Amino acid sequence: MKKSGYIKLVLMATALSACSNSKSDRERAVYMRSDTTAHYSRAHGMGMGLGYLGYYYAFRPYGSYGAGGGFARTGYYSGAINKGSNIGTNGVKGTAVRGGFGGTVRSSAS
Amino acid sequence: MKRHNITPRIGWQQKVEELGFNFHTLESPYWDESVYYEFSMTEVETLEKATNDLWELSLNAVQYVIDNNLYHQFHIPEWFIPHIEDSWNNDAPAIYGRFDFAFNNGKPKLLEFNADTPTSLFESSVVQWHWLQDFDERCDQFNSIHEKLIACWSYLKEYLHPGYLHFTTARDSAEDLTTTEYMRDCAIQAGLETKFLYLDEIGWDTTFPQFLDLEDSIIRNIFKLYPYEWLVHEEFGQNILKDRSKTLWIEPSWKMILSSKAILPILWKLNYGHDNLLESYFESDKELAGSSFAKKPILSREGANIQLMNNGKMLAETSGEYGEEGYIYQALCTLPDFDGQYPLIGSWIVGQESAGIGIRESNSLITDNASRFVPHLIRQ
Repeated sequence: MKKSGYIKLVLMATALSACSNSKSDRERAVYMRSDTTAHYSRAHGMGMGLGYLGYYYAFRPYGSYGAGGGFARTGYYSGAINKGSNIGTNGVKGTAVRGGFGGTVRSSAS
Repeated sequence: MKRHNITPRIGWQQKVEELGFNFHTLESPYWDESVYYEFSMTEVETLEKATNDLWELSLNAVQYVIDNNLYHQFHIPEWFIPHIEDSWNNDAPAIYGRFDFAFNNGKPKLLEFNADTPTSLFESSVVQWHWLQDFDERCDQFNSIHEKLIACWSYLKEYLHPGYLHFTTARDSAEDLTTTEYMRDCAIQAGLETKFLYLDEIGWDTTFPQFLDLEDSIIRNIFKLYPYEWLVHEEFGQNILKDRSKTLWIEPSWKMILSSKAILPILWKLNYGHDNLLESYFESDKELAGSSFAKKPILSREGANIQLMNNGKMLAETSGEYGEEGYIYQALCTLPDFDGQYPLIGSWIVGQESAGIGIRESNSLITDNASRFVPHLIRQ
């Protein structure tokens, strides 16, 4: 036989549907974090799959690229956080810059 | 190799969506199960051998490029060469690639090698496998991609830095996100701890030069579905060399050599007359290609900016925005013609082994981003 005997997926359907479906108010309220450089606050254990992706996809920042290529965050896809929020604490908070990769996209990568 | 028209499964859209395959229909169906291709075991073994042989030749070609300092022919920036050579000399983990073949009269000929960011992985590995379970589960298929990916991640585990394996791709491409998340799925099943973030979310620590994720954790290992030729020209590109954590990038940067069309003339030069290779030349030797050739940009994607010439006459041509790095000239080898449908075989290498195939079918001689993915099976 040349084919796989059995195919199991542990992540796929959940991951991709999480990208296209909006979160319920309850989910958004539970999975809160302060901003992109602070730790997430966790309401559940860190198991992979639905729990992990649930909080993760709820807080994608959105914004735009400036002339220099830097990413300026203007808010979050989740309505559970204010764009001015900056209440987390972290040893390197404020020293990380983002948005320096991903600007060349022409179509699919292949 | 035979082509069969069939009736698609009732509710096929829902069936493939349940697998996580949400870009099955673009302007027209991309996943097309109104057709399948049938192979004999002899044909499959021929494809398998060609894939394994070409992988070996490809590795030799990388060594040749490095030993002879031929980076200029690939338009690789000089400052990035140390990273490429480090990744090669240290055997940085690599996991996959896809050889694209024209398969005429039982003979595979290499058209190009997608060594850095090959897509259609999920369709090849999972979607067509499930199609076969419904269509005729007793039949075989040239497809052990899924179990080989899990085995390969499992093998690579001890070669990764401690900590998470991050996965990243650009926003706004369902195809790339699917491929990346599928790869992550396999890594999870191999026992790796993973995180996903988009490329623009990758942070650069300006105090201690290293890459950070969204939780400000150091990125020690990262699988990226994004071409090196784009990465190195972006704002953070040069940080890859400044990175004090020496993040492992997967695929490794030596794949930048193999993913360029410039590897094709080198493969030909090193393996003149090989059964699975087509005569290929750089522009400086283009007269050697005669009047029937494919003119391909050194760096390009999805069949863009290709010209097919037959006895001096244009056979087919695509537009696009590539070509500024120059072109290579490859002996003309057209795809097989099944009543005006032209299948291209993408043959997967996972780890060091041939792992299976996926087929893209097109209405024209040049396979592009509108070409359909069609399943296949093996009949004895």
